[in-house]
Amino acid sequence: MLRRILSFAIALHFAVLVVNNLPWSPFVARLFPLYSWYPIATGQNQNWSMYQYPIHFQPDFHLVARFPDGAETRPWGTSRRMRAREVYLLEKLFLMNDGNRLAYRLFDALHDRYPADYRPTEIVLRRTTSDTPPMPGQIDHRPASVARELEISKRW
Amino acid sequence: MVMRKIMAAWNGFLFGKADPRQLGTFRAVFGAFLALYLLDLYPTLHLFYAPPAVLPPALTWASGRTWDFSLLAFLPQSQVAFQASFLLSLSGAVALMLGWRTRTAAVICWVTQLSWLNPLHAGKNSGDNVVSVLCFLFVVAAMAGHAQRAFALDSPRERKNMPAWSTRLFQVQLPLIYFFSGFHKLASADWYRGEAVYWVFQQPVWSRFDLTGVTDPLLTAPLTYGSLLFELVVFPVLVWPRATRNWVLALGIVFHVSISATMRVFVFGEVMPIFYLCFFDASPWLERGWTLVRQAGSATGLLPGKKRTAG
Repeated sequence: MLRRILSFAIALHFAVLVVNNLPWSPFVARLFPLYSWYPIATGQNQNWSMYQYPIHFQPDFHLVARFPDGAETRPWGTSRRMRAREVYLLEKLFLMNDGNRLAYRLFDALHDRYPADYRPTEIVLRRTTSDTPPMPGQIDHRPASVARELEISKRW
Repeated sequence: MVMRKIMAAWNGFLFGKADPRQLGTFRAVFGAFLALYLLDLYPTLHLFYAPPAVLPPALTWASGRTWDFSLLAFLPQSQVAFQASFLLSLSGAVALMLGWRTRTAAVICWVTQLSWLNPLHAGKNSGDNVVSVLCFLFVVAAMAGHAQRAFALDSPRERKNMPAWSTRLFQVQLPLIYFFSGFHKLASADWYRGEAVYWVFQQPVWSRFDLTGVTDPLLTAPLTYGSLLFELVVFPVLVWPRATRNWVLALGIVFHVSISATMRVFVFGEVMPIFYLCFFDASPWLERGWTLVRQAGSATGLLPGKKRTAG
């Protein structure tokens, strides 16, 4: 009996994993209220669409803190020196729906980590982009329609 | 008749006998990885949760999906609370590695992993997701008593074979990751036309060194289609037969090492080869190391061992 229950539970577990992996569709939408609590609550949310749509431009990220005496520093260094996770975080701020709000929280946290007698008056996060040359032989290339420069900043 | 055969095969798949040393090895290595992973994650966690924090407690469990829990919502935001929580996480990982109080350790690892990562809507990737999945599966394996049957301080004296179902949970999840990674890529014209790796190489911010000169389609297209073939077919299918298993795992390691060597991908390249231990029995190596640990422990009196008699 226990074996049957376990067997059924495991079959259900595998079924949920498969459905959770499927792209959003009316079929998945119908099932979503039934199964979604399980992968979310257990941390098994299946999201493996890594590199699905590689971007067609070259971004770079600049995080700059400006001080009352005119000095500027990069709290995390250049994008080449940043940890990959930090670059990923900054990139996400420009892609999220409420990225600006999270960015302001990040700026506040960075601002308050400086000594009280020498804190920045402004923190700026800038994303610059340049075009990626078309692939040799590609005849239908169009430059990516993305802003050359985007900026999120906060002043104190 | 056909249904009976299918049920028999299914029961054999789940309840056939498995050597506990394989899962024990996987548990020990994952626990060690988890400890290093947490230490690497520390700066991000400190930024987000230790004052002055990016996220106050009220925002750590504020999403509309209430299942997306974080116990940080119930803790005061202070350096002491943060350091204590982090130490708890780290202790759980070390205890899981050693197989000490394995059930409790596994639950601690899982709960703290989700509490740290669920509120992080920026700064986490699929590699972190894999770690979360593994934490949960080890909770299940530990609760069943399977994860701690070998190479664990909780190990019983006699190592009996165990039913395979807990190992199967890992073994089914791993090919699913590859298959659906490839499956989703097919929705993209870049992968369908063999151009994706070209575009990936053209992003200096995400490359370890300058790959923008790698433009020849005779190089980039085989890499693109080869990745798809590996994810959609080679791994999910050929990892199961014993005759091809080790070759596929070796190819997978080459796959991930080459990605990690060229691209600034974090966590995924390290955790996936460790995930391979659900298919690969590395226990002979760990057996040797564990014997040395027990001998050292007995000699120093830290672990029970054979007593020397005088004369």
